[in-house]
Amino acid sequence: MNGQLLAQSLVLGILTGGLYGLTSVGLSLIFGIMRIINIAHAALIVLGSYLALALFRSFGLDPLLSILLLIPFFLLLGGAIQWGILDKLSSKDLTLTVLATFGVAIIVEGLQGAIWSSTYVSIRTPYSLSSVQVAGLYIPVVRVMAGLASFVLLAAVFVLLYRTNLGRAIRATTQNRTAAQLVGVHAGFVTTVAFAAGLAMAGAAGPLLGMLYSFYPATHWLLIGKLLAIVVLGGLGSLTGTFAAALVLGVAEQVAGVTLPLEWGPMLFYVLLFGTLIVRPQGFFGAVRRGSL
Amino acid sequence: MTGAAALQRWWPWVPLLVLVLLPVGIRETFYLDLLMTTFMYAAITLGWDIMGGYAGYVSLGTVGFYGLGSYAGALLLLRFNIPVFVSAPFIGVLCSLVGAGLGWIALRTRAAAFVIVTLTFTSIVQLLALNLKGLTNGSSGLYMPLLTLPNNLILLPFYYYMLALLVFAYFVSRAIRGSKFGLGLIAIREEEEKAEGLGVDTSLYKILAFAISVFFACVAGALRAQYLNYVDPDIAFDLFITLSPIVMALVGGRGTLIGPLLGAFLVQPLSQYLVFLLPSSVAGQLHLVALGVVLLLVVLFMPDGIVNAYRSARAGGSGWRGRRQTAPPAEAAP
Amino acid sequence: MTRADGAAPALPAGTLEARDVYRSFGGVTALAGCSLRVEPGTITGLIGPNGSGKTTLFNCITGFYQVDQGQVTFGGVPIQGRRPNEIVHMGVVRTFQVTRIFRGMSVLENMIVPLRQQTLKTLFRPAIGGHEQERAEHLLEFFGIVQLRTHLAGSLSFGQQKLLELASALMVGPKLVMLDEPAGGLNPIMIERMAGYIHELNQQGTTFCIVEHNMDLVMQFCDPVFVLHRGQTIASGPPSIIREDPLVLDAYLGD
Repeated sequence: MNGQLLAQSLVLGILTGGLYGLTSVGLSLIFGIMRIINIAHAALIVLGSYLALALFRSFGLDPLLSILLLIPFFLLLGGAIQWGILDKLSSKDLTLTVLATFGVAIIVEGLQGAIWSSTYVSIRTPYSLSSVQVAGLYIPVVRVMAGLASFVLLAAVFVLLYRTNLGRAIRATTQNRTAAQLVGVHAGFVTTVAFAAGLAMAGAAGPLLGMLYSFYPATHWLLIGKLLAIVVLGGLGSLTGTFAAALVLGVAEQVAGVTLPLEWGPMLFYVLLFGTLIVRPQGFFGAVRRGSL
Repeated sequence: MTGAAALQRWWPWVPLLVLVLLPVGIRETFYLDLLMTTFMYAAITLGWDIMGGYAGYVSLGTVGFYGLGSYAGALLLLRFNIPVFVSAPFIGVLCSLVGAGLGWIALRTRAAAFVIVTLTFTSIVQLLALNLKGLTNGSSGLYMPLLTLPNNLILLPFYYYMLALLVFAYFVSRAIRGSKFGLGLIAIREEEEKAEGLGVDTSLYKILAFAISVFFACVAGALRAQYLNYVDPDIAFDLFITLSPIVMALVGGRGTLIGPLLGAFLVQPLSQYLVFLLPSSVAGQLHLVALGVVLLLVVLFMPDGIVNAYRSARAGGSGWRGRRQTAPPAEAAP
Repeated sequence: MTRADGAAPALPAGTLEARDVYRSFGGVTALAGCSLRVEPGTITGLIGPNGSGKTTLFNCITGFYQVDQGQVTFGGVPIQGRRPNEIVHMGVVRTFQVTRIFRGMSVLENMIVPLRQQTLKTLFRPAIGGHEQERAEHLLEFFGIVQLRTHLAGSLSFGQQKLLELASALMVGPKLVMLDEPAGGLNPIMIERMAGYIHELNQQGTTFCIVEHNMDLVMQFCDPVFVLHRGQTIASGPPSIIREDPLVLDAYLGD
């Protein structure tokens, strides 16, 4: 591998890593505050892709702009799922919450198939095939856009979490629900907000992923595996850890893509997931916390 | 033995006898196929419930083992000329070993890791099936030679094999339920730390339970591949194989012996009927939606399933899951 | 993992010793070099103000927490780093502060779950029946709850549940039983009954280590008594001396 190729992989990897970060940080946030593994996370990302495609085809709305519509839609959807389903279940019983989110994933997948059929589609914009040249590297425009948009959205989420009172309340509830309630945090409301925010991140990532890769209703199974690998590697529930793991895996996938046949890419995630669980179940980047798994 | 006692003892054999004799009367492939598929799901569900119901650990990887079994059966036939009817039990044992390995990775910690590992396991096996083209022929799949039987009889060996698998699953589940091991699994479901504090090697129990529970999906996968004379990554990793047993166990009642049976014999015919009613272009998709909706409804409103709901209604108590003794109200503290 | 032969090796009479144990949780120090010694045949008391680290020490000894530093031995054999079930098989069993029983099982089934040793053969034997059931019913009889054996454990009264928890712990045939607040939440009559059982079992040779807030009970039954304060052992000795120790009075009345 020459220097040029390595530099190219690094840049692409960081851009993809940003996208992985956007999707997996939401998943990690939801696990952290609710102890729920949101199996439906990737299915909802794919739903975001389909909605952006529909908006693009019907109204010519640019996928990047559709994010602005998708965020409020997924906030509401998240609120509805939390209020209508998850809140009704005992959060202590991981069995039932997992089955519930599994059920949601199935329903979303089935509806997508019924409405948009089960064939591969992708979002092809006029600039889909153009590239930009930076320091001698050719980077496809859509990858730059997806990467930058992800970083901007992630930055917004981290500002929300670390610079606002609501964010403090979310982090406090994540650390210790009872203690947070004792100091006056409305844990139920905060939980709903966090879940909705996690889904909004998923929804926003939909158009971005849809611009990069083709998709069909069942692609979410491969994606949720990748995201869970990132989250476990980063330390379940640790947001900064998840973000770091997303960047590392983004780059690793690109580098592996140069050296390995393309179809083996996802295997990298699974090998790292299993390796992590064997060697260090609490993850590599997150704070070491008892019972995080 | 009095008549009533004899009835009590022998009644489970009556439906079995009926199922054994049915093919004599019914010749329509549609019904025999439906019954065979129901047997298959019932066996897989009984297996799933050893882990999901007794121990309370939900596996989302059933189809991974089913697919592994399908490919193992096909490859042993094509490469070594071993008939699937012979190899199937051994393939099941092999899968149990794989399950034990997977359990070793996932079950030393708590439930979240188990869910994640079982879910990704399916993707891993599917990826292997797709990418190891030299072995599996990739997405083109593998064709298996037909059994040399007259057309109208070709279903029968599969019918009886699946029925035998179901009966075996039933007795394994029953033996576990009544054993010290089964009691330990239920203890893990109810209070895992406490069980550990009473000397129960919880990791070993869970790994053993998972190894046993995946056996049935694996054998079923091998048989099914031969029945269809074909296996490819889409057929071998059909989402319904993971989804249906979960729905069946929940509808019938987790952690009971009868629940998974009842669930399978209820859900599978209804599923088939639904698919029959729907336009074929969207039948598969709406079937998914329907099962997803049922799953959500059961989780929300009847998480203990029909059998447990019936039992606690009859006992008038709050007991749940797999009670055999009825529980009279407590006496006042002395 | 279990021993292959299933037989317990002969242990020297079990002295439990925890020496200079440290344990912290994300920067909060729960145990800062605390020590405890339980001689065979005693009923050793462990007291201290709320948050002094008593339950954490219990968890460290019984394998539910790892110790950061220090040594825990039973009969001279190091036990830190071992799994809770292994420690049970070495002869140390514990109960929990908040009573934990298997609520969905019958009383008798609760008694059968505990394992003294396991081999694959015993695992797949029928759960109820034989010698083990006899032993279970014998113990239930001792605690006066044998008539409830087919009842759902969750339907028992609070006091009966506490008795059941102790009875099931005894099923593993322990040398040392560690009780986390055995009298907590019980009415005076039940407390007396519980104390009577513990005393009688002790007479029969079982060693006890007890965390308890009920001072009268501790001073009456326990000897020696260890006092924890802020994760450290600040005093130990017979109750008559502990009662007069100025450090102990400070710990309870001060701050």
